[in-house]
Amino acid sequence: MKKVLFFWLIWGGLLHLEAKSLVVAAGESFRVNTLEIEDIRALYLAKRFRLGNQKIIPLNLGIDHPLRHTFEQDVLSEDRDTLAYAWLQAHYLGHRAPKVFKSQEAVAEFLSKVDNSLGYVEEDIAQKYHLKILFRAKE
Amino acid sequence: MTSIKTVYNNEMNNVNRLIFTLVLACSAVHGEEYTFGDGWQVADSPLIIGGYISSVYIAEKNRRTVDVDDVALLAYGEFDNFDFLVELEATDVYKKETGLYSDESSNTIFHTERLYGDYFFGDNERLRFGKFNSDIGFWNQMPINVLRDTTSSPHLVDDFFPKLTTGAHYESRQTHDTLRRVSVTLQHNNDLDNGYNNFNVDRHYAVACDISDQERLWRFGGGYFRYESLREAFYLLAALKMEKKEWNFLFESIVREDTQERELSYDLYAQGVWHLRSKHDLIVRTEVEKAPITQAHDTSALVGYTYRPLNNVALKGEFEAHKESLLNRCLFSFSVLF
Repeated sequence: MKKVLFFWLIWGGLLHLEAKSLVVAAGESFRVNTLEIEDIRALYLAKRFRLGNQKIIPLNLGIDHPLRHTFEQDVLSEDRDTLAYAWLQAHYLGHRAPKVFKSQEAVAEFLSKVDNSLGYVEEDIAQKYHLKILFRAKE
Repeated sequence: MTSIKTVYNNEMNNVNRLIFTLVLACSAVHGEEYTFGDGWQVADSPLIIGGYISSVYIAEKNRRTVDVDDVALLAYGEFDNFDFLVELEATDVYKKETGLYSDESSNTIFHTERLYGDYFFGDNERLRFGKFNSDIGFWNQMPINVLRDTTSSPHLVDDFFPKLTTGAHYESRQTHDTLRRVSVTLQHNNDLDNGYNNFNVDRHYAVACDISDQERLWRFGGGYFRYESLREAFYLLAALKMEKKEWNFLFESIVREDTQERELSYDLYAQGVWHLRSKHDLIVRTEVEKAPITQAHDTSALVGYTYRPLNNVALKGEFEAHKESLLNRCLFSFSVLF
């Protein structure tokens, strides 16, 4: 009985993790409604800093956060050295690296307050903070 | 006559003022967590400050040199349609040479390396005005030690065109077409900082474009510049860059015609960088240079190794072999961007 209970707990946990989808989101008044993966890659790989006439502030989670790891692998498809070097070059050219926050809630709160910021969180967090979902990494 | 002591005191006053300003600026910093290598945000303003340091040890046949060759401060800000950047740099802050003759010197005078504003017309068009890195080739866009692959730079970058331009630069980018970028550079005035440049230029007109497919990025450019008020030169450049997960390849070539010289000058180099593992790179470069105006006629090969213990810190070692063995040398450097 214990084994069965243990199995269902683990399986349930896995299903719960699977259900958490990563989304790229922004505040409700963000100027566009959707973004292509190429746009997100360009903004996070320091190849593009604006959308239209608006400066964009990309946000990041802390270096050890599992969602950051997922974002870098599944959306950006780049290793950490490449990303760090791209932003080092950008710093020399006068572009600031993404702001780093410890938690998804802190990211969501910043997104809801600052119109031109962009970040990635789990979908339920985006919904909780009434954020505009611009891109879904996993369905 | 001004004494050496007075000059030294004046220089120290300049440095003290600069450091005082920096400390004041840093004391206002709060909120954002500082990540080493990303610069500091001043309070909640859009102003970011940072800088870089480079020091090098050079071993040649008859000479050893220790040189704190670059100390620079950066300040920049980004807005919706407008950006600005200021870079103040002191070179050879401390330099000691030993060997056939010995010398020791210091310099604490900061010069304007870059000072410009950018105005953006939408996503893909930009007008820059001020003093900036000349839009010529790839290497000259990231010329500081910590961002370069090697401690030394190819002669092509140092001896053939003005590294810096004081004037206007227009750039148009396309993200999806084969023709990725076109640009025009115009300088019709003196340098912003009294000739703090490799050529003391008062005219520089140039065009450049990038052409790309999935694998390769080609950069072509050409221009005219006038230096020392009367010397004139035309140049044409072709460059190729390829970047893969495991390696990078860079090739640049230039031809220059000086109005006061019958023979053409040329230089070309090819460089491979192998990312052996995370933070460890092996670099091999070969270069051919012929510049009658400077009487340079050299063929060289370089092998180097770069270790980056942190993303913004580089430790480099390299050996350069030249056609004339007297020019052979080893270089080691430490550089950091903060």
